[in-house]
Amino acid sequence: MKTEQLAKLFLQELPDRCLVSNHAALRTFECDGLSAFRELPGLVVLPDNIEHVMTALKVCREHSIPVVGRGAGTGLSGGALPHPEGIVLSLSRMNRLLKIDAQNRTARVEPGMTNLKISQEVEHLGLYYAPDPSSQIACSIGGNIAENSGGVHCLKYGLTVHNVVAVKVATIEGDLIDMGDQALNTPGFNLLSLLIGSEGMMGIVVEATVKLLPIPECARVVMGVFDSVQNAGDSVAAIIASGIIPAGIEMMDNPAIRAAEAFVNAGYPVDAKAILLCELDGTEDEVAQQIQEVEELFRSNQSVDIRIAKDEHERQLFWSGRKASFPAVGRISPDYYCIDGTIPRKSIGEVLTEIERLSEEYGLRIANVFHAGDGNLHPLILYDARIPGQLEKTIELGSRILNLCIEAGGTITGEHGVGIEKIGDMCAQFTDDERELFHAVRRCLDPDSLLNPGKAIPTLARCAEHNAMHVHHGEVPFPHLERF
Amino acid sequence: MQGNDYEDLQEAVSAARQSAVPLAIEGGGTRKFYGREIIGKPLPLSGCQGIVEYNPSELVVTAKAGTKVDELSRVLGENRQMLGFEPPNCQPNSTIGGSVALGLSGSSRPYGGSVQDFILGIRLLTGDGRNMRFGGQVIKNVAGFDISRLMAGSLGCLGIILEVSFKVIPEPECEWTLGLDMPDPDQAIATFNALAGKPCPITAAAWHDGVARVRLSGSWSGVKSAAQSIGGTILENDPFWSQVNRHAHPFFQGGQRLLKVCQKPSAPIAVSAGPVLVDWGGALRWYGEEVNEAVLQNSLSEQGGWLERFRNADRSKEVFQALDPATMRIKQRLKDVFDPGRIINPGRMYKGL
Repeated sequence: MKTEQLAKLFLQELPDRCLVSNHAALRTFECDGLSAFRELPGLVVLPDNIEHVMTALKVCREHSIPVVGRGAGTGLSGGALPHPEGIVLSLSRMNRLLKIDAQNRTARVEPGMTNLKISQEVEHLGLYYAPDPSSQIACSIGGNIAENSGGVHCLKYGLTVHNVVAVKVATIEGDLIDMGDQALNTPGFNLLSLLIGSEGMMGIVVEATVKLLPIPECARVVMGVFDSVQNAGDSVAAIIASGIIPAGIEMMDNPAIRAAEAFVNAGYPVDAKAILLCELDGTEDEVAQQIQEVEELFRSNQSVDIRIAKDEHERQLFWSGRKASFPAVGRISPDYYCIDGTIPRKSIGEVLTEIERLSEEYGLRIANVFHAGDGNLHPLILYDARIPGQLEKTIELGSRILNLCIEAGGTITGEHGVGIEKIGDMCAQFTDDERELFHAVRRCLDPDSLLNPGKAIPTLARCAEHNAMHVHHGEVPFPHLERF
Repeated sequence: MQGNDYEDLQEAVSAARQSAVPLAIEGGGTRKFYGREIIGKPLPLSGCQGIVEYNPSELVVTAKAGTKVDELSRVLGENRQMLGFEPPNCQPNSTIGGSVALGLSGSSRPYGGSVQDFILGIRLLTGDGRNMRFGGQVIKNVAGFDISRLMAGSLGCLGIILEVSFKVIPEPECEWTLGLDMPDPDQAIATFNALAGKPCPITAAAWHDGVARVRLSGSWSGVKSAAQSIGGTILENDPFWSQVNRHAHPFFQGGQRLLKVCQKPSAPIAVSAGPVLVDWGGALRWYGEEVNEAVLQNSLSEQGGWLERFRNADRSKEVFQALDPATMRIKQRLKDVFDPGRIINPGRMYKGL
């Protein structure tokens, strides 16, 4: 449906202030954090409350209009890329805190509330919301739920799925359903886990109850400096095998170290092949003891230097480089493309070496910054979109890296989601049966496939085309892997 | 992982489909008391045992569904690791697939997480004979819908779990249980909730018969300093947690009926409903034979929560609390997707699922 038609239709049911139909204003919504993909939506609907959401969904159901849910638009896989014939349902105005339940350590919030704001609202109680995607200052809890977002502290504190206890969901069929409960256990199939990470394809979250954790008494960070990526990778495995679960353990390779250092002067050693930032939290004594153990493990894996942040200021400084590494890379290259595969920790050294080789093969620089503790890689491919063909080459290189991740026993997305970006790569990770089952499961909640159509799960036809392309290049993906 | 180890099971499923004779999945056969009545020809998973892959530095283990929980725990223990959800109600023959299908979590539930929190991936044989894998063996993985966690607590009604990958955790360096004399369970719950809001290595909290117990696990120094600030008595060699985990505690031995009630942790205890054992820091309340159900139902309608007839109920009727129609409709559709012929554990959870 065209914008004028859509606007007319929705105006009959919703107040004017909830609709955006002006061409220039629609531009704001044409992409999310993955700006390489853009599409103008037919209409944007900005509901104030649950009734507005349900009304919008009713109109969409009655007229078979596609609905793309959107939080803050910070997603990195194009999950909120609009549908040209549909609406974008932007939950940004529904951003209120509904209830803090200090006794049960939960907060009930609207979906548009930002991730960081939740922690700020409960800080006076000594509590916080643990998942911390790097976009936490801007990203919304509704978007976090759609993507099952992670962050630096996942290894110890889990992903979104581990930290949301209940949601209220508006379905395309017109129901308002509660999934999960503060009671920690509900009967029947576990719909809450199914919904989290379903990329807006099963319902619109209109309320979320999140788990709050006590702020640790003490947190300290140790930096290990290495002259080989392999030694840094081995250190990570050694720390985990020793029984320590760090609050976070991050790795940066030389190109990333140089870019970050030039940007924020975090005091990183610019000649190092790799650094590890390992954060430990707990009681003062506990942290002191674990720091000693980590130091020993770094040393036994040939670290060339070890630095312990001496105070909170230095701790923040150490982290500042890591946190600013994406924009830092943005300064040294006109464009960069962020990959998000996960591999078993034991393969870190091997996979990084192969990525380096691919980087040379394609003639594109790659900086690696990643969540080493859980094997979640974020290679940043540096390219220049103004050079014809370079974006395509970059995307192909990205796919090659994701294939490496699958081969190593990992996955094509650790925390950014599939969205539109990795929809072709889904063909390599799942069989026809598995993908068909995903579609069937989705239809249990969205029978006409109106919610975020065309995202996350490729159709059989799309995969046939995708795989034919791979054969055309002379390589069937992973001939040694079984196929059903 | 090889998918072709399961041809026998695939054949059994296809035969069941053709003959329309349902199958009742059987792991160790130790928890047949749970859920509604069992219908169908037993389908034993005894041939489906063994650890498929385990690399301690990955904190991940993959095991076939028929692997005994004891065996898996022993192997993990050799590497000073453990299953984080402390699988409850296990006997020597209980299997890991059964533990996932039942979806039961031990005393660490509110602090360490539930069974679904530790599932990373699954291999599943659906009711129409499709052998599929979901999730994986890495901690962070958001590719595809989360079918793996959907299987936790599905009571086998969505297909036969063949293999499961779990995130495992290191065994704590030290573990102490503190006992605090507290005649009033509501006071105990208030204490548990206050403690859980502080940075304190608490991994279990329960109340029964005038004693509140708080378990602390972690490093020596962390546990010691927390114990000092909480007070109470250190209960050495206290069998309580293991007895509660196996339902071997005298509370569970008394009568026939056993009701499981899950409520938000702060909900007042319905003391007048009968003798109670409180676990999960207040979120789980067990009531035995002497329960006054009317009083309990009253508390549930006022405070919210869920009642489950855990043992010795009339299993021809529903044993789990009724779901609202919209939710039930979605669950019926899921059943149709995974088991269109309705031949796998039909009706074990709800009539019609």
